[in-house]
Amino acid sequence: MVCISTILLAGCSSGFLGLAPLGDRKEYVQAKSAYEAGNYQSAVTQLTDYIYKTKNVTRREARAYRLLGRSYEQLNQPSRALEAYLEALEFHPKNVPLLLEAGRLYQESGLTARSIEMYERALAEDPANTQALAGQAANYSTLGFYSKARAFYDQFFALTAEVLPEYRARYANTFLRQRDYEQAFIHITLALAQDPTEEDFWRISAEARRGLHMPQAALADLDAAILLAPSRTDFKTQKALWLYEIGEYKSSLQTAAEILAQKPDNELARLIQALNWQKQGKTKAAQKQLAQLAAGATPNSLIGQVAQQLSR
Amino acid sequence: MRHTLRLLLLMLLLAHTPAAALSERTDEEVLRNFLWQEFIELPADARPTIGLALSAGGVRGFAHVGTLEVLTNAGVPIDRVSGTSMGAVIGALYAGGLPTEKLWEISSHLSMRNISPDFNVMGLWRFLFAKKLPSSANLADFFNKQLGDIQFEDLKIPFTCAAMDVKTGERVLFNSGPLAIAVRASMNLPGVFEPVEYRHRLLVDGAVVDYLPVESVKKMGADYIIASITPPDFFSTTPKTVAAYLLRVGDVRGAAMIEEAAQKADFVLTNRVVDVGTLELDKLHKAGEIGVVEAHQHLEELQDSILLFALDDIIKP
Repeated sequence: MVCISTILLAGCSSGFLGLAPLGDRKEYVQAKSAYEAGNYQSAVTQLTDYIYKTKNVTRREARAYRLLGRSYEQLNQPSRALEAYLEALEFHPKNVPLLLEAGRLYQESGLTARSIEMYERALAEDPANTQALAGQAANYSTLGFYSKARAFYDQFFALTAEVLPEYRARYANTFLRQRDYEQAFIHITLALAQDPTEEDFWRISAEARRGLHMPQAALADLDAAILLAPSRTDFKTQKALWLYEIGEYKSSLQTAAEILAQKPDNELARLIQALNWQKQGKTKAAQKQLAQLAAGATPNSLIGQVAQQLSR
Repeated sequence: MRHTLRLLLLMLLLAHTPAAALSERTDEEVLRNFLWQEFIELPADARPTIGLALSAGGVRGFAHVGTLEVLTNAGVPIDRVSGTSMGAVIGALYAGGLPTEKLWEISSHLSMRNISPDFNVMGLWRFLFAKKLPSSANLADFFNKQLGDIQFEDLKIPFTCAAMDVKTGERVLFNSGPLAIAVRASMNLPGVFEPVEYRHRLLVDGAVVDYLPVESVKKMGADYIIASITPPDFFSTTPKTVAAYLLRVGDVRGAAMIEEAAQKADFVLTNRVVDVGTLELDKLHKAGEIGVVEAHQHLEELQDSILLFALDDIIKP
C-alpha cells in the first residue's frame, strides 16, 4: 500500500503516465479554455510555454502539441501547425490522433505522398480508423489511383454506419472516373437521397446517365444542377454541348447565347455556336466564327486549337 | 415521372437551402470531357489506331502497370501493343486480356523463384562448378499460369516483343507461335540468366537491341503511338555486384536508345522510378504507383493530343 502511494505521489510530482505534473496540467486546461473561447494566439503562447517548460522531451504531451497545432491552424498558419504535429510525432510516433492531424494537413497542402505515409502509419496502429481510411481514399483519388481509392472507400463504408453524402459522392466519382457508370449512378443516387441540394451531386448523376446512354435524363439532371447554381458556367456549356450532341441545335444555340449574354468573351460558347451553325448549314458564319476564335483564343488552349483545326 | 419528382423535391428544398460553393470546371475541361467521350465511343474502324510501346527497365518497368491503369480508366483505346523485357511481360499479359487489377496482384507474387529454378544451393553449385548461369525457365510457367498456354494469335490485342540472338546480334521480333517462351526470351537478362534456346537461336533480353519498341508498334499499323518509358536512374543506386554492373551497362545503352525511339512516338509518358534496382522485385508495387502518378499527371495533355489527332473523326461537318 505504501509502495503504491509512493508511486502515485512520485507520479504527481514528476509526470505520471507521460502526463505533466498536476500543477502544470492546469496550464494546459487554461490553454484549452483559451482555444475554446477563440483566443488562439493566447492558446499558442500558453501551450508553447507549457510544452517547452519541461526539458524531458518524452514527457511533452501529445495532446498539448495537438492543441498547439490546431491553434496555429485557426490562426491560418498551417506550416507551423504541421511543425507542431511533426515534432510531437518525434516523441509519440504511434500516436494516431497526431498522425491523422498531420495526414489531413499534408492532404490539404497538396502533399499527397506525405499524407499517404501518415495515414499508412495511423492504419498500422488502428486498421479500422475510418478517418484514415477516408483520407487514403481521397489521397489515392487525387493521384488518379481510383481502384485503390475505391478499396479504401469499401473498407470505410463497411465500418461506418451513417455515411455523409459527401463521401458517397466521392465514392460515386471514383466509379465515374473508371467509367463504371452504373455503380456511379447507384452511389450518387444514394448521396442525392441524403442531400439533393448539392449541385455537383446532380452533375455526377448527369455524367453517369450520359455514360449509360440516357441523354434526356442526363440533361434533366444537369438542369437540376443549373437550378441550384445558376452562376456556374461549366454546367451551361456542358448542357449546350450535350444538346449539340443529340442534334438539338436550336436549344444548344439558345444555351450558348445565354452564356454569352452573361460572358460575351466566353470562347467555348462561341465555339459551340460555330459547331451548331455548321450543322445547320450556316457554313460561312461558322467558318468566320472559327477563324476569329483561332486567331483570338488563348494560345495553345484546346478551344483555340480545335477552332484552328476546324477552320482549315 | 420519377425524375419529375426528384426535380420537384429539389425545387422545394431550394427555397431555404443555399447552394454550396464548389469549384467550377474550366471551359477547357468541359470541352475535353465532351470530345473525349465522343472519341472513345467511336468504333475502332472510325478512328485512328492507337499503339502502345512499353520500354524495358527491369523492376522499373512495372510502372507500365500504372500507365495501363490510368489509360484503361480513361478509356484510351489500345489497339496494338509492343513491349521489351518487363514491358513484354506487362504488355503480353494485358494483350491477353488480364485486367489491371490482376496485373497489380503480380507485384506480390513475382519473385526470383517464379523466374528461375536456380536460386537455391543447387543453383549456386551449378554456377560455381558447371559455370552455368541460372535459367529463367520458371518465368514461362509463371506466365502460363496467368494466361494459360496460349499463342500470339490467341491474344485479344495484337502484340509483339523483341529478343536478341547472342550468336548473331540480331533483333528477333516475335509475333506468332507460343507466347510464354517469347516473353521469357524478351526479359532474359544477359549475364544474369543463361540464354534461351528457341527456334535455333540463343536468345537474351531484347533491351540490348530494342529498349523501346516504337518502330514495332508503327509496323503493326498504329497511327498514333504512346510510349511508356522507364529511364534508368543512375544517381540513386550504385552497382555492387557483377550482375548489377552488367545491368548498368545495359541501362546506359538503353538510355540512349530510349531518347532516339521516343522521338518517333506521338506521346511519351516518362516514369521516373528512382531508388529501385533492376532486380528488386519487392519494389514492383512502388514502381507501379509511380506509373499511375505520372500517367495521371499527363492524362489531360495526352487526351488533348489524341483529340487533336482524331478531330476530323470526332467532329464531322
